[in-house]
Formats: sequence, structure tokens, C-alpha cells
Amino acid sequence: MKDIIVKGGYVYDPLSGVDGERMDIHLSAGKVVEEVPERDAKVIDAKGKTVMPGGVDIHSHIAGSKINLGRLLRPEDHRKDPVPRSKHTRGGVGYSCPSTFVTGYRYAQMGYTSVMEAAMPPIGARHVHEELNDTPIIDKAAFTLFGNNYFTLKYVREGDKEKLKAFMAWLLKVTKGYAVKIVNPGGVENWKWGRNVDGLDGNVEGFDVTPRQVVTMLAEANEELGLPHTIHLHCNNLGIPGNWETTVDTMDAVAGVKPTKGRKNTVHVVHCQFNALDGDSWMTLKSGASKVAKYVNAHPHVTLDMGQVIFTDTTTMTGDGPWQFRLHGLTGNKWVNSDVEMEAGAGVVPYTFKKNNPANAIQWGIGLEIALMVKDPWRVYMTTDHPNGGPFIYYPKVLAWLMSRKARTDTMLESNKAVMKKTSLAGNYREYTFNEVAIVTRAATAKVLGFKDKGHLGVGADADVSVYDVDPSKWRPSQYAEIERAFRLASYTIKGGEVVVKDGEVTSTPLGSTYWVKAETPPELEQELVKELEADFKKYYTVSFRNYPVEDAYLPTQRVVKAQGGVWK
Amino acid sequence: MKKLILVPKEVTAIPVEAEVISPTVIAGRTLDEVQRLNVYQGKVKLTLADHFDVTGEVAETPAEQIIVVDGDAPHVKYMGAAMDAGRLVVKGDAGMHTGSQMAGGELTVEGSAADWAGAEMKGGVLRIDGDARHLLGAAYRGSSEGMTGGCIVVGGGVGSEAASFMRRGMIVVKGDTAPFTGVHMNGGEILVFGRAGKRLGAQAKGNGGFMACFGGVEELLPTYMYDTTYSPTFMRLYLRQLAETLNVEEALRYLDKPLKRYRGDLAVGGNAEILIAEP
Repeated sequence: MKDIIVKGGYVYDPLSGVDGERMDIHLSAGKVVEEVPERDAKVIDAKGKTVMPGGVDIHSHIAGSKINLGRLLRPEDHRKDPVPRSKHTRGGVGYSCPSTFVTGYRYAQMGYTSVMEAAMPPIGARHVHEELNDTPIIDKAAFTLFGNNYFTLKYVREGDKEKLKAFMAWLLKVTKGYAVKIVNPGGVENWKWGRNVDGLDGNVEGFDVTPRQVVTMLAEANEELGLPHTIHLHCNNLGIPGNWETTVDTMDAVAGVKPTKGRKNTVHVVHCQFNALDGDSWMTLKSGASKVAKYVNAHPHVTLDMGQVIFTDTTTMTGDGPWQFRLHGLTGNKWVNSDVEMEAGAGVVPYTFKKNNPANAIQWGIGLEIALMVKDPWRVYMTTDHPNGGPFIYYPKVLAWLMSRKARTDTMLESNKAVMKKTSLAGNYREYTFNEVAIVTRAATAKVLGFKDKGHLGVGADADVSVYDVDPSKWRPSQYAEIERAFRLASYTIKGGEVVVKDGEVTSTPLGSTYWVKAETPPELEQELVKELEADFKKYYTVSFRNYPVEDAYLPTQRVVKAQGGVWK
Repeated sequence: MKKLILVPKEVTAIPVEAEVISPTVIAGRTLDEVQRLNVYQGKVKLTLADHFDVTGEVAETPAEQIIVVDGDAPHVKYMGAAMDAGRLVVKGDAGMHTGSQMAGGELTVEGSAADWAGAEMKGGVLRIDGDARHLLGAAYRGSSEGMTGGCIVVGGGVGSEAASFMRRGMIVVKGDTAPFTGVHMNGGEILVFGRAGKRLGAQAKGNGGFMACFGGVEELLPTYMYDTTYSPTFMRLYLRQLAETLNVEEALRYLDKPLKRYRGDLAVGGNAEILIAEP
């Protein structure tokens, strides 16, 4: 592979303290290096352009049974976005449930080089990894679902945190998962009896535990295991007006958890827009963003991502089965439910966010309010919860809204007036800088995920670089269309030291790696745990214990991240 | 108006996807550019000129453009798809998805059209002088939003599931219809001058739409209830307009015919109307 010099661009590398300096980036053997000889290198002229580390998406649904249900449910979605093959790419379909190959191509075209699959049901892990292998270019990782797992609930009920930690380490290992995902803790278990939990202190049927206990114990166990990422939490009561209180209560429930060495945060609250609703009903719906942001600004243990709404037709899909049933009832749209044995659940419902719908307009405002009201960009990240708030291909639009008040105002004027009356967005003058964009799309996400070699361009970092055709010294917020254009199709995307996109066209399709986390467990404890698991597998599971783990063959380019080392009694 | 003539070179076994055959796509280009527009045959990317002899003039705007496909093109899919102005005339048979999602202008097929003609149509006029096969003016698979505007006039008969999930707009069929016409219909108007097939209006919710059958119905679903027999004024207006503006001369024969009104589909709590002319 030829060395590369990205020459003369305006570099934004917040983790290295570089804020728009004109400088060269040298790449060799898949890494950022101090310097390579120019005569032997491929030189990319980045003069007048913006250079950033490759994007790192912290929360997206791109692989596995849930997205596949969406694909099956929505032939009409594929129809509107066929993607023909090209010299370097395969044909496929796009839009809200894109095919695996198109997912990889389109992320790379936007300058993203790492994407996290946010919900992997353990028994469906093989399927997830098979699809991740078919998602080219980008590096990937998948978050294993824990919040409604039979064994999680059992150990929480027994108050056996040591066994829970051992189980978490074991399940991450056998599913090749990267982080602990919790979706509507206890609610999805209750959904198996047609019910939900009514909040953080509701009862989980059959286990007599509360979501508060589940979240708190998983957060403590996560930090004691020293996992690279905190718990990745989809709160209870998602999508229900007035849910900001549940969200803040949930954040507060883990305020006392001691973070693992080297970080302050103990919880990442996902797609916060859906959990920052105020009011008593859809009729009285208003923004609860200021209340959530106020708490977050005062408590460093919390990080968030936006879950921004895009005004378009999309496919909602989540492990929160009861919420999806509720959404099906609200809209009358078609619905798929999936119960995942002893572990999780899911639902899929198509949805169209409309500008003239007051609730949708308010939701659009809330997402942006959260990003603009949380003062520290290192703790709020740009996502659409793809495809729930909207397809990831609209990220450039979200960036335009964040960077330009005029862009927000222009959209507000086309939207239902409720967004003016029920949110404070119109009075918010903050506009993200290029440096802040680099933080919320790559630097901070890489940092909070614990990727030491990603999200920056310091020596030793992965040679993942994005070059965008926009001159930050000349750009003004009124030119927001320029941002959309430039960030939609990168001038160059370099992945692992190889040019994969040039002038918005995919030029090469390397496989990309899959990351997973290995946490050590005392051997005697693991043996005891396995004995217990085997007994329950025999009684309750449809697969045998031996067939459960994902074999190494499913991860041809795996990268194992070791947890910091557990705190064991 | 400027006329562009496309003569199909041969009828191929593998269909050609040519949504570029549309005034909306072609207007404003040079003739050379038009000849080099991409079409797909299977996974193979070709040009329009590979499949058609392209001659004539290209207009500045779609509204000034007439495209004539001079010959049979049953293998050419998506002709006139999403067109929003101008005219397209196919002097023979047309392939699948002809005029699907069209939003304006006028598309005439002088022969017959294959499946999905006028699917999810939003506006404009689609005339098919021969027969139309299945799923005329229907929603695409998976979608609950079928035709939302415009008008389709078919000189012959139509296949099954015509007007599925129809919301607005009008479909006029001079011949017979196959089963499941108006399935899941949720508005809009269907007028059948031949014999309407079985399961007419199955799962239709209504919302102001009607299915008028002037040549009888093969079998009515038991979930449609007889309501009354009457001669509504609006139907006379419709029939006169059909004869005057769309040349549906058959319409004038039924001006004073009493109509039996049935309401359903009660299986889904619907309030759609089936109006059947008395013999």
C-alpha cells in the first residue's frame, strides 16, 4: 500500500488540540505517522478543504434480524432508492433499510469509517456478524442486548453482582459484542405478557425487580469490569409525553456509580430526543429538552446522542417491542413484532415524520435543542438513531441545522407552528463550529467508545481520514447548502491508509474490521456460571449451549479490545 | 411542441428499464445527450440509442415535449414513470410500470400495457387503448398508498387488483375487470362499463370513493349491504364529462339508469359504495 500525504487542508482534530490549522497528514501502513518521504507517496491536494478523522457513528441499526425484518416489511422502501452497481461496487437498495453493501458504501461516501450496530440480540449474533461481514469498508462493532435477558434479571433478583459480571463478560465473549446495551429495561420482558413497565420503579413480571435495579446493577458491573464503553441505555417510557422525568430519574439512578479508571461517565443515554418529551398527552406535548440538558450540564457522568428527526418516510425499529406496538396503534401502520426467546424483543413500524404534524415538528425541535443546549460537545453526539429518526444519509442535513441558525429557521418556517411555540429552538443562536462538528461526529464518539486509535489524527492513530470540499475560512452559516453538499459526498475518504472514496465515488471496498471486547473473569467463577447456564439452556432454550457461541470464523477481520481488568470480590 | 421519435430496434427477452423515456427527463438536453441516457437491461448498463433509433427534436421544457415510441415496446419498463408534464405516445404495446408515479402530462398507449401501469399515479392522464394487465393504478407491494390523483382510461379490460389502495383520482374501464378491483380502496372513483370481476372492493374503507359498475358484477361480496336504488345527479355529471372530455361515449348510455347502492366492506367497517346499474 502506497504512503499518502494529505496536503495543506484545514485540519480539525479535536483530540489532538488541532482546530482548523493548515497542515499535512502523513499516512503509512494503515497508521498516521510523523512523516513520509513525499517522492514515494501519493499526495492528496487538500488545499481549501476540510480534513477530519474518519467519522465514528455511535448508534445506528445496520445489521441483524431487526433491520432484516424492516427489509422484508418494506419492499416499497427499496423501490424508491435502487442503487445500480458500478466498477467497484455491487448493486443494492438504499433508503431507510439499505442493503448491507450499500450501507458500507454510503457511510464511506459521507466520510464515516466506523459504525456501531446498536442492538444485537445474543441468539441472533451470528446473523449480525454475517451481515457486518457483508458491510464493506467501515469498521464495525455490535452492542449486545442485556436489559431484558433472563440471566440478567435472575442475577439482579438474586442481588448477585459477581455472577452478573461474569455473565456479562461471558455473553460479550460468546456474541462477540462490544458494549452492554439496555433497551426499556424490564419493559420488553413484560411485553411477553402483553404489558410494559410504567417507569423506573415498575415491576418486572416474574422477577419482582425494577428497571432501576436492572440499570443500576448493570452500570456498576459494567464499570467494575472496566469495559471500554459505559452502558448504552434506551430508557423506559420512550415516546411517551412527559417522559423527560423518567429520563432524568434514570440518569440520576446511576449518578452514584463509580466510573472505571480514566473516565467520568457511567451511562450513555441513546436517541435522547425520543426521551425528552414534556406534557401530559400528545395534545399538550412540548419540549422537555431544557430539563434534560440542565441535568446533563450539571452531571458529568452522562453522555447522550441526539436521535434527530428528519422529515421523511422512514422505518422505525427497536428492541422496545411494547413501544412499537403502541406506535402501530397510534398510526395504524403495518407492524412486525419479534420475541427473542429468553433475551429480548423487537418491533418494526414504518413511519413518516411530517413537517405539518405538530408532534413531529416538536420532536424535530427537541433533537436540535438537546444538541444546542448541552454545553459540552464532548457529551452529546450527532445521530438520527438510523433509521428511527431518519436514514443516516441525512446526517449532512443535521450538520447544516447544527451549524446554521438560518438553516433551522428556514425549516421552522416550513413546519408546524408548534415548533415555535412548544420548543425554545427559535431563540437559540448557537451555531456549531467545524471543530465542534468534528467532536460530535468522530472525536467524542471514538473517545466515549474507548477506541484509542480512532477519532483523531495523532501519530499511531488508524489512517482513517475524511476530506470535505468546503473551505472553512470562507464558509458562512448562511451557506448551509454548501455543508449539506460537502458532507454528503466526501472529496476523499481514506480507510486504513487506502483511498476508498474519491470525489464522492467509491473506489475500493476493503472489508473493515469488527471489534469486540474481552473481559477477564476468575476461572472458578466462570466454571460455576457455565454450569448454571447449561442447566437453564437445557430447560428453556431452542438451541444447545454448545451451538450458542459465535465462532471466530464469523469474524474474519476481528480486533479484540481487552477490558481494563475487573474488580472482583 | 417538439417531437422526439424513438423506434424500438427489437423486442428483447430481457426487459429494458427505461424511465428516461419521459418528457421530464429528456427536455432541456441535446439530442446527443438523449441518445446517451442510461437504460438497464438486467444488470447491464446501456444507452437509449442501443435500444432505439432516436430522432427528432428536444424541447427546452417538459411541457413542450412530445415523445413518440413508434412501435411495440412490451419489453420496455417504466416508460413515462414519474413524468410531470408533456406528452408520451406509445404506438404499440408497453411494458410494466408504464406511467407509474406519473404526476402530470398525458401518456397514451395505443396497444396494451403490462402490469403496474399507472401504479401510484399522482396526476395527469394515462390512456390505454387496449387492455391493461394486473395492478393498474395500484399501490406498490408493501405500500398502503396507491393512486392519489390523475385519471386512467382503459379501452379494453384490466387484470386483477386494479386500483388497490386507491386514495384519489379516477379509473375508467370500458371492458371487463378481473377479481379484486378496488381492493383496500380508500377514496377515488372507479367506473367499469364492462363486467366487474369477483371480490370487487374487498377490504375497501371508502372515505368518499365509489365503484360504479354499468355492465353488471360477477359476484358481490357478502360483506356489502344493499342500501337503496337511486339515480344520483352527480353520476349524470360524471358520465357527461367522461363523454365530453375523455371520449368515453359508452357513458352516455347510462345517463338515466337507476343505480343499486351497496355499502361496505363491512369486514373492515368500511363505508365504500358500489353502484350497480340496473340492466
